[in-house]
Formats: sequence, structure tokens, C-alpha cells
Amino acid sequence: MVINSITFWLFFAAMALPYFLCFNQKRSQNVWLLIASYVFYGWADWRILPLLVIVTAVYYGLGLAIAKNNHANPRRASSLTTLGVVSGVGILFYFKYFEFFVREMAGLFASFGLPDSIRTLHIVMPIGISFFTFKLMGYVIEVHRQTIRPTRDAVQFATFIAFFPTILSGPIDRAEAFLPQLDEVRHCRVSDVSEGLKRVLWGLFLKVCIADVIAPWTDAVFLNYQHHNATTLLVAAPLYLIQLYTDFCGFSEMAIGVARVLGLRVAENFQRPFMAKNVAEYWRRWHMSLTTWITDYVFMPLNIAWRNCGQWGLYAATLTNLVVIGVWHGANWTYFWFGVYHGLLLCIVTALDKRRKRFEKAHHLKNNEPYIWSRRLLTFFCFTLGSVLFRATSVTDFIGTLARLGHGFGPLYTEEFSSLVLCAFPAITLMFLREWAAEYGRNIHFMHARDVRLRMVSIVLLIVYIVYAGQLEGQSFIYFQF
Amino acid sequence: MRKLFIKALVILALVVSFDVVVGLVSRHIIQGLSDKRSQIATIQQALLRKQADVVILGASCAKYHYDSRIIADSLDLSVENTGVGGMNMVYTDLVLQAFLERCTPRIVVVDIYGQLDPGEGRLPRLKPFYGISRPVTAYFDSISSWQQRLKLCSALYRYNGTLDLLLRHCFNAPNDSHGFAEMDAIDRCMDTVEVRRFHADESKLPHLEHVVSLCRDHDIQLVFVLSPRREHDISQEQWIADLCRKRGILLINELHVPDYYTAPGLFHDDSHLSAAGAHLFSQRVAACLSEHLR
Repeated sequence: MVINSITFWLFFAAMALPYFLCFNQKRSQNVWLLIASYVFYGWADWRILPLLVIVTAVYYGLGLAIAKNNHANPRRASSLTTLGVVSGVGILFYFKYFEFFVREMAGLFASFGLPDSIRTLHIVMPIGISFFTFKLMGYVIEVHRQTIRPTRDAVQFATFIAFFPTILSGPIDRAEAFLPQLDEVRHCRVSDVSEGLKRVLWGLFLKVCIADVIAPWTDAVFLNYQHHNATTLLVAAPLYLIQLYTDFCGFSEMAIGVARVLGLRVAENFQRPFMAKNVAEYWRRWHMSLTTWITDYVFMPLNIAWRNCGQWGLYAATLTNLVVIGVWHGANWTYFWFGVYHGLLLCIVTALDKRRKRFEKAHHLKNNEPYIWSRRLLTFFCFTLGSVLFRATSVTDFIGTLARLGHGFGPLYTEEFSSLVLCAFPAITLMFLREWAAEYGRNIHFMHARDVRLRMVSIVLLIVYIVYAGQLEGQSFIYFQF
Repeated sequence: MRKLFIKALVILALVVSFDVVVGLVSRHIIQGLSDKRSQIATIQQALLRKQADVVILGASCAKYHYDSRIIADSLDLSVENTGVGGMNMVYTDLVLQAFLERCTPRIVVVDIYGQLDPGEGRLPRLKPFYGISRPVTAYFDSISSWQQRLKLCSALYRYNGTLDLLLRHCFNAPNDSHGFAEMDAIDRCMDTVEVRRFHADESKLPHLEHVVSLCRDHDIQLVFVLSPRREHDISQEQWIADLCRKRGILLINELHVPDYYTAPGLFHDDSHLSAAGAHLFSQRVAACLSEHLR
């Protein structure tokens, strides 16, 4: 039941109507929301539902135990927190990385001529595991840090973990922001419903008019990179970055919109990343719920631990931070090197930061638009290269793709390219226009225009464009695999 | 809340109006398409217009291998090539049904290799003909889930993606070759490789049966042809040969004819013949057919 399917919207309607009309107490609303969330998750893969219920129960108990021991027995509280974090990492490792680890070890043994009798384990990776384990770990850490009080309401906690719009692909919510919302009755507010549906519509537009239209073409190029020339690869690379962004941002927008209709605000995930002027800024705008999570729970502790090492400690923490972000995406060396690549870029940006500021001051470049746009382009280029690594199925494929660039230019691969030009390019232009305007504080009012007629016409045209020109035969979301 | 409800109704009304207008305009445009070499025109002509004594059915191999003019000259019959790249046995069945609504061909030639492979191929390209062509409408009604049927009520959905096809149609040349299209050649002899990986797609078998029964009922000579290609799927060839033997269908097997593989320039790629290859192939098929008709 994907968020852009009719089934989902019928499910949502069947869920939302009683939620607002029949249940007028927070507890009954939460119970209903939890039932809906478990039905939704079970629909995706019912075999994994028991795992979700069990880990939720365990972490609920851990939260209470940590809070109880925070003052009475701090060492025990620390041990319990460590247990929570290790269990979370362990679950992730088992389901997501164990098979890869075993395979790599077997390969290593084989390369030394040792017999490898390990069979493929076929471990089923639970959908959304990277997202809900991070919520669980974040919760116990915050309880231990005493920034939040553990909830005694098991339903409330389970609803926070399994909340259906975000369980499959984020955004990764924080307990301190989400749990208090479950402590109040949610009323059906016109502003929330209207804003929520507009965000859903925009997310759908990004997904079906850009990401899904680009996908067949970039797939055809990258899956057969050996047969393509430099021209095609140089067009495909930035297009893939745009596809990745619109696919994931589209999903996030829809998830945030659905939650908003239900009267709940979840974390934002993107803030116009293509407007970033350097790599550090880009990471502050891209998949924000993950980067802030890892910054808070990985980077900050490491940075503090290595503060005696001076600048090198900062670089090491930065590199580790980005490697964790890379590896979070999955068990493949490409993700590891993706993390290393971005970590090194970030270290370079940090190292050159003071010099850059001096240079800008000396040449009065701070508000110079051509200079700012050149920095944006450079950042976009760096991320484009990273996205090719991200897209590659193996490091060999990535190197092969780069090597193809040396085979010279030629005619652009144009199979199915016309649908891209007709549907995706106008949509990409609209997206960039909107982001550019928002970046400069000049909102293109569009669906938020003051004039109600303009607002409605914008919505109608967007719907017509989606249905007439979008790629409607549902492709899955890229981030579902993580 | 009342205001929001009214706005939602107005938006819905506007979307429905757009849907109706786009539906009417698109239907009109598609029905009136001229006979050009574009994919949408080939499908439109096959489903709604063309009549012929000999109908060639299939996918890209049909389109690029059967020069209708050579076969027509040889048999002294009218020939139409309705092959469309990426199509399969379902399309073959639907086109035959559509033809039978207009005329009764004497011979139906099906380029059979790969027609029963799994996957829907480019069948969604038939969506614009839902509501226009009876066989296509009946087919989509029979296979669609309730969500799909709900979506098909929308003209915007049905004509989704057609803008691209229609624009491409504008830039195509008129179809003066009765559906046949020429391909350029690679300058080498094609080698061959044997494989065994055929599994007939169960969902396509009823369509194959339907084609066979339609031809039998209308007293049409059904001919299956195996075109030359690099990859020889022995299991597929065997399966088709058995079927033809059991059902009394004429099989023209060009898969192993050495002439195609010993001279350079007869192939365009691994599975398609060049213009020169198509010329040789059409002559051989025409000779077989005329011999059989005699």
C-alpha cells in the first residue's frame, strides 16, 4: 500500500473519518492511530509486524527503566541506555548488514584459498527498519540525557514508533517533538487539512512528474553504462541526482502532508538542497531528519571525545559522521565510499572555511550573485558525482562509469527521451523556480496565492498535469529499500 | 470546514471538466490520426482502419522484417504489416479481433518468436484506445483490478503520456510501406548462440489459443514464422514446432537458414534484420506462402 496509490487513500479516508468524527479523546484517537499504523505496516509485510511490536515493547520498558535509574542508579541507567543502543544497532546489523558481512568474509576466505562453506542466508530485511530503530535509539538516549520524560502510555509510545505515514521511509521523528502532540486531542482544522493536502499534491507532483519520468531513462543509461558515451553519462548524472531528490522529497512531502491532515506535525526532511552554497550547507538541507539525528548522536559525542586532538579530531568526527550516513543506506561498499567521499569533501570545506571568508571579505563577494551561483553549481557538481557512486551497484560499476567518460562524446541516447523533455523538464523548471523564489523570500504564491481563484486554478492545473503527463504506473520509492 | 468542502467540490468539478474536455479532444485526435510511421498511428490503423488479405502480426521483428510490398507483389494480395515494437501475443490477438470486425483476411502471419515471453511489454500503450476499440476495451475490462477500472474512467488517465506519442507522430513520415520499416545494417556476419530458457507466460496462452480458434472459425490460413536472430532458443523453437504440428498450423522456420548468417550486412542488431536482410527474408516468406497457397 504505497502512499501514491488509490488503496492508500481509501485506507486513509477509512482511517481519518472515524479518527475525527468518532473519537474525541486523545487516548481513543491514539489507539485508533496505532491500529491503523499496524494494519498499514502489516499490509506491507505482516511477517515483520511481531518484530515491530516486540522491539516497541522492549524499548518502552527500557525507557521507563532508564528514567527510574537516572537519579537512583546512574551507572545502571547508562548500562541500560548502552543496551538500548547496542540492541538497536544489533537489530540493524543482523537484518541489514549480516548477510553482506558473511558474504564478504566468505569472499575474503576464498581469496586466501580457504574453503568457504557459507550459504546465502536470505534474511528478509524488514521494511522501514532503518527508520524505526533510529526512533527507538533516539528515544532511550534522550530519556537518559533527561531532555524528555519517558511516556508511561504504551499506546502513545507505540503510535510514535509505528506512525504510518513515516514508518516506511521517514522523516525520522524525535520523541520530544512528536510525543507531546499525542498528548492532546487533535481536531479537524481547515488550515491543517488544506495545507496537508497541498503538500501531498506537491509531493505527488515531484514523484510522478519528475522522479518516475526520469527513472526509466537513467536506469537504461546506468544499467548499461558500457554502451553509452560521455554526453549521455554527463546528462544522466545530474538527472539522477534530481530523480533521487524528487523521489525522496516527494515521499517526505506526502508523509508530512498526511500527518498534517491528521493534525500532527512531523520533522521536515528537505530545505531546498540545490540552493546550498557548499557541501556542509547541502547536508544541513538534505534528509535533515537523518543528518540531525546522526549529528546529535554520533558526531557530537565523537567531537567531544576527540576535542583534545584539535582540528584533526573534528575532521575524524566529520568523516565518521558521513561514513555512518553512507553506510546507513545499506550494505554495499558503494555506500561506504559515498560516505568517505562526502566526509572528505566536508573536511576540505571545513579546512578552507576561514580562508574562504577572508577571500570573500577582501573581494566583497558575500552578496555577489554570480559568485554565489558559481558556488551552488560547484556544490551541485560535487553531489552529482556522489550520486553516481550512490547509484552504482558496485564500486567496479562506478569506476567503469567514470572510465566511460574517457571514451569521448557522441550523440545523446534519446530512447524515451521525448517524454522526459515534455513532462519532466517543465516540472523540473517549476520546481527550481519555486525553490529559487522561496530561497530569496519571494514566494511564488501558486497554491498559496491570496486570490482564491488563482489558488484553485493552480491546484486544478497541478492535478491535471499529474494525471495527464505524470508516470502513473507506480514505481516504488528509492528510499523504501533502506 | 464548510468553505473547504465547497472549495473541494469546485476543484473536483473543474478537474472533471478538464477530464471531459481532454478526453473528447484526445479521442478526436487519435481517431483522426493520419497513416504515418509513428507507433500510435500504426496501432490506430491496425485497430480501427486497415483492411487486407494478408495481415502480419507481431512485435518489432514483424515491423522490421516483413516488407509488405514484396509479399504483396509476390502473392498478388493486399498486405498490411501491423507489428509494433515491445508488443506480444495479447496485442496480436486484439489486432486480429479488430481486423475481423472489418474484414476477413485470407492469411494471418504471426512472427511468433518472443510473443509468449513474460512481461506486459508496451501493452499500456493501448490505453488510449480504451473506449474506442472494442477488443481493447474488453481486454482492459477483463484484466483490470477495480482500482485500474476506476482509473480508466478518467480520460486524463487513459490518455496519459499520449502527448509525447502525438508530438512524435507529427514528425513522422507518411506510411507508404504498409507498416514495414527499414533498419540500417551492421557491417559483419551475425554469429549464433543456442540457449534454452523458454517458459511460456501462462497469461498469454489463452490469447494464443484465441488467435488459433479465430483463424479456424473464419477459415483463415494461420502461419507462424520464426525469424532469424542471433540467439536461438531451442526450447522455444521446439515448443512452437510441437504446437504447430498438433494444431496443423503452417510454420515457416527461418531461424537456422545459413543465408542470413554467412553474408555481412543482413542484421541491424542481435534480433533485427537490416533492410537487406528484410528483403531476403520477405522474399523467402513470400515464396513459402505462394507455394503453400498453390
